[in-house]
Amino acid sequence: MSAESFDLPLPPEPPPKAHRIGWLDWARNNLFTSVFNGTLTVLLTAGLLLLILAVLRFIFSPDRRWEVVPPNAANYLVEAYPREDLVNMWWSLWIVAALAGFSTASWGMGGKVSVIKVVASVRAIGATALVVGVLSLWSPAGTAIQTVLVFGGVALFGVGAGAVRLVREEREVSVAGVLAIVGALLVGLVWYMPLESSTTWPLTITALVVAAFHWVGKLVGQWLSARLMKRVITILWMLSFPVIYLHIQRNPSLVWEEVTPWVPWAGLLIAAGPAVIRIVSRAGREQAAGVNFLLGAVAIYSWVIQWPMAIRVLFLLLTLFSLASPTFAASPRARRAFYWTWLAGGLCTLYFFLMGIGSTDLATRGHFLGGINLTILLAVGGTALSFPLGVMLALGRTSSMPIFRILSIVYIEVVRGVPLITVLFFGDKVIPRFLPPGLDFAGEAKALLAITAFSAAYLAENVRGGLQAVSKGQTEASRALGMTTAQMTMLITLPQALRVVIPALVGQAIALFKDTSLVAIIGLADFLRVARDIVPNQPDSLGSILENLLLAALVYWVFAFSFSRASLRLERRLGVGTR
Amino acid sequence: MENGAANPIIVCENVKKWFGDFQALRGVTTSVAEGEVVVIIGPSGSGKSTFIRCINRLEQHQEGRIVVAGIELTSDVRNIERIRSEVGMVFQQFNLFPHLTVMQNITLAQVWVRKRSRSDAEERAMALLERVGIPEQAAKYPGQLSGGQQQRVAIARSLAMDPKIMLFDEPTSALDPEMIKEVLEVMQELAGTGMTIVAVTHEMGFAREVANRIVLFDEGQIVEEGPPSEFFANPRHPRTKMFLSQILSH
Repeated sequence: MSAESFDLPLPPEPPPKAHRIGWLDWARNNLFTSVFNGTLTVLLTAGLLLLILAVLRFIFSPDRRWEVVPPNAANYLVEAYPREDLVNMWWSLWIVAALAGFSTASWGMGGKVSVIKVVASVRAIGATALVVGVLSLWSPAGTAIQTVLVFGGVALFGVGAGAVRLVREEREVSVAGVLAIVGALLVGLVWYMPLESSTTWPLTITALVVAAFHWVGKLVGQWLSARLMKRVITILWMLSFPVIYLHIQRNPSLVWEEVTPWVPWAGLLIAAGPAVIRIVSRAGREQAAGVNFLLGAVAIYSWVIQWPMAIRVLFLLLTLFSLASPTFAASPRARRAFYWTWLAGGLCTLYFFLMGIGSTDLATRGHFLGGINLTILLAVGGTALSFPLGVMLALGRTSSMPIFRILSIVYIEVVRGVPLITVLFFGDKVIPRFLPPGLDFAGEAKALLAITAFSAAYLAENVRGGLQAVSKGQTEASRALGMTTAQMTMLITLPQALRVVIPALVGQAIALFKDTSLVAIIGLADFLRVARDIVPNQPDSLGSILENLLLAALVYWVFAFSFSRASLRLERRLGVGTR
Repeated sequence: MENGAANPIIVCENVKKWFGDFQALRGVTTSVAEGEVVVIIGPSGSGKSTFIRCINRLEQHQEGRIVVAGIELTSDVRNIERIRSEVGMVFQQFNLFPHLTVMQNITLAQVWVRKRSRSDAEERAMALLERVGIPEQAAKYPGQLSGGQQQRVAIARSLAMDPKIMLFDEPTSALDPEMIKEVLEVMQELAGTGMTIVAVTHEMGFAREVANRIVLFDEGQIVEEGPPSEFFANPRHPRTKMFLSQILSH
């Protein structure tokens, strides 16, 4: 039945000719094709050289006081966070490190890379260091770093260039091994820099945790299917957010007397969840609507009467799960997965309230977090929270239900028409007026809310573009197969739409990351403000503003650049089958 | 008019449909018996695609009645999805889901709409892929397949829902000539199993060989219908004669 291919007697193909050209030929073909091009090449190269020289002269000038940076590491990282509680910060970093190590085992880091590539990058790093070092000699000072750059560059370049000629092309090493060596070098660097042992040790532990959990991930990966492993990793990452937040904000501690009145009820609620999900997902539409209405009514009423906060939140969560269960728990298999999701979510909420209630609350100090940690919290939290909100707004805007459409359009257009600073001020000054008197969120939380609200509107417009790019044939095919609108959206249109808009979403995440520096305006000390205001006002680093701004620019660039590289990887991986 | 009215599975009475001011269907009355193979032909713009898209309510008719498998299609049909999962549809542009593998394309609706377990759905999908002759393509993405293979996957995807009726909307019009045959063979095999088929197609060879009845559409109306032998040999209506002379002349 299928069209079999016939084996035509084709002549054997000759091997492709190696097409190598020398660098002189390359330069002639690419840089000096005409007099005009040649002149342009010379002029631009000279200009570039002058620019680099100027920058290097600035960096290596005797007036620069780079030695003020390492002692201010704590300011850069956490700013006002109480130094005696720093162990909480490290714990949160270790949690992330453990998860990262665990995930790398199944995220393709177990692959191989050709040795040629590795040594070629060593050669490139050496060459860059050598060029920078030699060029920097034009500046007046001869610092130790310049010596390191020149000699280190020569050594690396020599080793790299030699190895490129010696190593056979097909030799491969594992990516994990290469990364381990790079990590070890970084740890060595940390110890070489003039940091206090209270910083060096935790950083070393971080590296060890990554390595150890990479190994754990490999072990676990051996007896879990790749599919299950992916799910476990996703759930762990999601759970890590609240846990990390709790660790940063408070000293988690369990005060048994505070929680005994409500813990049994919370346990009962969590245990009853699967039953509710089962009933709602198997019942007819009317019964399900009835149960949902009842749950919703109790959930809303619980905020009116004096129920413990944990019970209120759990009830709200249960209502949401119940509302979602006809869509997500339709098949028995999906239902089982949904039970687990409920248990994980419920237990996480319970943990949050158990450990959070009796702990010392740093949030009461007005603001508790600063430096790069605040920047990362706002960027990661803002992206993570605005994503679901933005997707919902996009779906609302393309929905056929007028109420949702109008609400979404109004929200999107209002927020997009207002500067971020206005939204930040609004969050800072207006949100407290909606809360009962005397109650206020921490500045960080308000900034996070404002950034999320702002970013969601832009994200919604990006996602809408993606939704419109999905062809009408896709919706018709899903309808013809009998899918409901919810199934069609979740399974067909949304995945395709999101795939299309990944570049735009990453661009937005990067913009959001940089925009977090605006929170300085409502009194928070983000990374840029630490560099601009706080470090230059410390007694031991008074007036070191240029150094700090340059450092800040470098750090922002490193983050943004890594984002965009990571997104390229993601695009390539998800691009399978689209063309 | 030979019209196995003994057991009609689709009944249409005076179906009318407008797109804005343009009337696409001007009162279509016909019925399709269980197991019957009906081929709809006609010039482009004659409303034949609109008509079969009305049968699974991808388009909504504005006047008249359509009854499919005993259920009348009206705006307050509550389980329109239920009816749609009884009526399979194959499109001109295949409309496979490009972000899913062939296997996932075929199992997705089985799991979510028919509520089958994943292993059952995969078993069924594999059996259907064997039936359409491409079991070895299960792990590929639609973009990696030829047009004919994609259309065969689309047919398998529809069949996986165990439909009572299959609708084909110009299934071979977007295909290279050498791939048309492989799709027609699958359709012919399907007709042999007793499936009720309504197909819009320009493949006269298929119509002549496989159809129980040919329906000619023009300007939103049925001009003439009848068994292929009669239809091709002694067309009664002058419009039919003209249409046949145009498509059979070369």
